[in-house]
Amino acid sequence: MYGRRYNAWLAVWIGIYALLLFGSIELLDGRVVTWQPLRVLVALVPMLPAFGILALVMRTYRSIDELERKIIADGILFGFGVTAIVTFSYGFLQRFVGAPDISYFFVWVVMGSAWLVGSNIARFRYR
Amino acid sequence: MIFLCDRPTKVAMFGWIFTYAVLVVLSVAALHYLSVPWLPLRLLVALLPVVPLFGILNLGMRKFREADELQKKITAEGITFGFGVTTIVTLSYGFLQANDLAPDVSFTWVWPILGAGWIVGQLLARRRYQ
Amino acid sequence: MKNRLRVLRAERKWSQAELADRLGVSRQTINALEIEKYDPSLPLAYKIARLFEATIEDIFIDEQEP
Repeated sequence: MYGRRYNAWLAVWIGIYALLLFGSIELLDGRVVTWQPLRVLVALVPMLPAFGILALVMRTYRSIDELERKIIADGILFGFGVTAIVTFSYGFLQRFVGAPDISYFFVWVVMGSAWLVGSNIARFRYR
Repeated sequence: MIFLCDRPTKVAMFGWIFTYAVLVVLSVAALHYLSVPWLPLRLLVALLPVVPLFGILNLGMRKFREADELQKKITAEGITFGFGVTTIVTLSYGFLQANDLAPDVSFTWVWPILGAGWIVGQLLARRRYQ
Repeated sequence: MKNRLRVLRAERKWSQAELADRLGVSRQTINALEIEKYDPSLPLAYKIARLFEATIEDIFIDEQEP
């Protein structure tokens, strides 16, 4: 599943995400949808491909070599710890030093990069 | 998280948490009453309570490494689940924020989400091996 | 993976907790091994084989046909 098929599926999900994002922006900014609960639903629809990607990652994880799995798992553990500390610290700065409130999208930026760094550290250790 | 349960660990953990609480009080009081002028110094004082968190992290990592292999697997699965749940929740919240459907809130809420996801994930993982 | 752990343990009249202590793992691991929901790591498999004075293949039955 790794390699070309994985990349193909990833591209599919990202494509669907782009379409849904575009659609949701049109519906919300164009004031087509005004009823609040429906607006929330439309705003969250672009999240659905995330589940597709999650399923893809899980399927891929089950199909790959055990060392590669360990490397990914180590990366996630590292990512978890780093994210916890970094976001908690920033929370402190927000509350007590007036750091700006920023979008929660940035949490994923921290999580993703910490995961990448962590798995590369692990890859290096098991060389 | 059975592996955390022996007495020296509990004592050490309590020590770190106590230090954290004390530093929170001190740092907030210092920032509030002393009006520290220089920004980098303000940052340092504000981040002081984070230092004992590294102590807790180190303790947790040591206990994890010493743990029995199945416990390691279960804990790792729990953490992975927490990681995944947090990704979904924070991304969703980001979408709501982008569309002005949710308020901008502090990042301090991320850790509780990570923790809750971890606990649920670990309970689910434990069942798989029972 | 199918294994004869429970049988071997019963032969020596050890409880799961005792076997866990002798192998340096938790009782949870022994139980998971016996109900065949968990496979041991290679070092643990060797420890088990040494403890029961048998080979790994004697204790763990790999069902895959070559």
